Amino acid sequence: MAHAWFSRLLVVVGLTLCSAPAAPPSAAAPPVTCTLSLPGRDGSVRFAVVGDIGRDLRGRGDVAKEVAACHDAFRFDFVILLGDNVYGSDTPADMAKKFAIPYKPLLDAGVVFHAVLGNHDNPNERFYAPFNMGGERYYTFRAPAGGTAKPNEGGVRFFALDTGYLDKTQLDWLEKELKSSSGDWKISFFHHPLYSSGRTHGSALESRAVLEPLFVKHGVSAVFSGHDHLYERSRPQKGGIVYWVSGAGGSLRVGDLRATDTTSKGFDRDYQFMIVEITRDDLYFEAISRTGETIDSGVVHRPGTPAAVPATP
Amino acid sequence: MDDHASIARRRPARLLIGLSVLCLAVTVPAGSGEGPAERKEAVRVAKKVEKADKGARQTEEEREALRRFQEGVAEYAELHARLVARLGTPESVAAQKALAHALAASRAKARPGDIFRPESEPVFRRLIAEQLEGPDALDARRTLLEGNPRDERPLGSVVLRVNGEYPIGAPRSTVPPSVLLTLPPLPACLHYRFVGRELVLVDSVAGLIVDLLPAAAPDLSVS
Repeated sequence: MAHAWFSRLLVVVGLTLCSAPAAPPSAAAPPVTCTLSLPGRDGSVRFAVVGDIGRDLRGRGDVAKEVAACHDAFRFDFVILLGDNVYGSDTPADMAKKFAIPYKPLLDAGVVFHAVLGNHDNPNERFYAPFNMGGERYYTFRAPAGGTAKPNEGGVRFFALDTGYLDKTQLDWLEKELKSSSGDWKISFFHHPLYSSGRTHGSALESRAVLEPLFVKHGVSAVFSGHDHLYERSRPQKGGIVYWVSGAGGSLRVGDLRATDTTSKGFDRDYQFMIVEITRDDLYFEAISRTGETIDSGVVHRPGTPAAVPATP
Repeated sequence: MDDHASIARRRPARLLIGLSVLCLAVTVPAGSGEGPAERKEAVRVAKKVEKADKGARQTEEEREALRRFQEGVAEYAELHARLVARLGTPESVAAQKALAHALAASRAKARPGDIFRPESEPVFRRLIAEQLEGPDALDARRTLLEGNPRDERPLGSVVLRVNGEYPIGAPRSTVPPSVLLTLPPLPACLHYRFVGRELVLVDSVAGLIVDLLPAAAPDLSVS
């Protein structure tokens, strides 16, 4: 019977769709080129965002090369690392092999790294000088002076958190720092994402319950996390805050993204990182794959400011 | 009335719907995005965390037990500070090991329960259970298993022994905020961590196991 044959076909197609493993990224070394469409305005604040660089040797190396190629094409001043920076042993020799050697071109070029801790990091990575954590699990810093970073006040301020251990002391510190900051842009970064459509981990709801009200109350505009080994940009959430997961800088879970109604854009086919540029009230972003492909780009306005250019949906 | 032809036409459509449901059931386990179910769960979790922040009710006996626990903690923090002052800020791995060695030597006779004293054990178990049991605690249980050395791929086994080393290569459990808001606060040199269901007091700089409380957490199943 025709319908019986069709039903069997549907079963086969359905089961294939359910169970088919996603294609892994190509094993061949990717070409190291980088073409960005960021505006590159004078005096803008420019940085890269790389998450979860710690696990895969090949992914970490390829991403590091691509980040360096992007730095050649578009000079940025610093990199934020989103945790799970070093898996396993972290003797000086390990730190060299796992971080300082792959990222040597950037370190040599004077690019500054700012890290947060992930669940696979030894908390004492906070003493590792190239991570610039000042011996603290959580800390804040202003983007380098120039452009939107005004001489004394305003500019772009970052709040680096340890979401593996969000105790009252840290939450009180965060509230105090957010309240006293007069930064035009307040940006937070930490390991566990408050919004994630990753199957493996997903959203950290308890962390969201304690952090999101502070972010909304004190005008945080953008949040970067890792943990799920994929890329995702959320639609603006409470307070207009956009949440990014950028957790495939050295670890990858192909096919782990289950896009939902908070997902604006996602990518889970290859390793990735981001380049960001902030000019006055606009944050331009570009997410780049290991092979140099632009997987997402756009602009986010600082909430409560007039839009100079249309925001990316 | 439906004729045979229309029923036959509908069957593939029903099968397709059935398969879609099956696909969802098969491919959407633990981590989930912000669908209606997650939104509802987020509201429940927010209420739970708010309640935890207000503090748990305690009897006079329980308050006394926790006060004595905090005395033990303060004593340890004092020792830690004294040794750091003597040995210098432990920024290098070698300095951290030297600090761990000095702490262990100073507490050579320390035994499990010296800080988690027997009278405080039931209070800790109750406070932790309040945050980890029940349908509203699914996210907390899931969180606690992330980085928990008994659940993660073994990158370094943790042998639970007072004055033993928390291995550098071993992951650390993420401790849910609700649990941290409920338990007595600790000085910066100490952290609560879970290894399986065991609650471990870890020196956050020296990587030393300072004390442990067996079976502190209830069943951590997330199914």
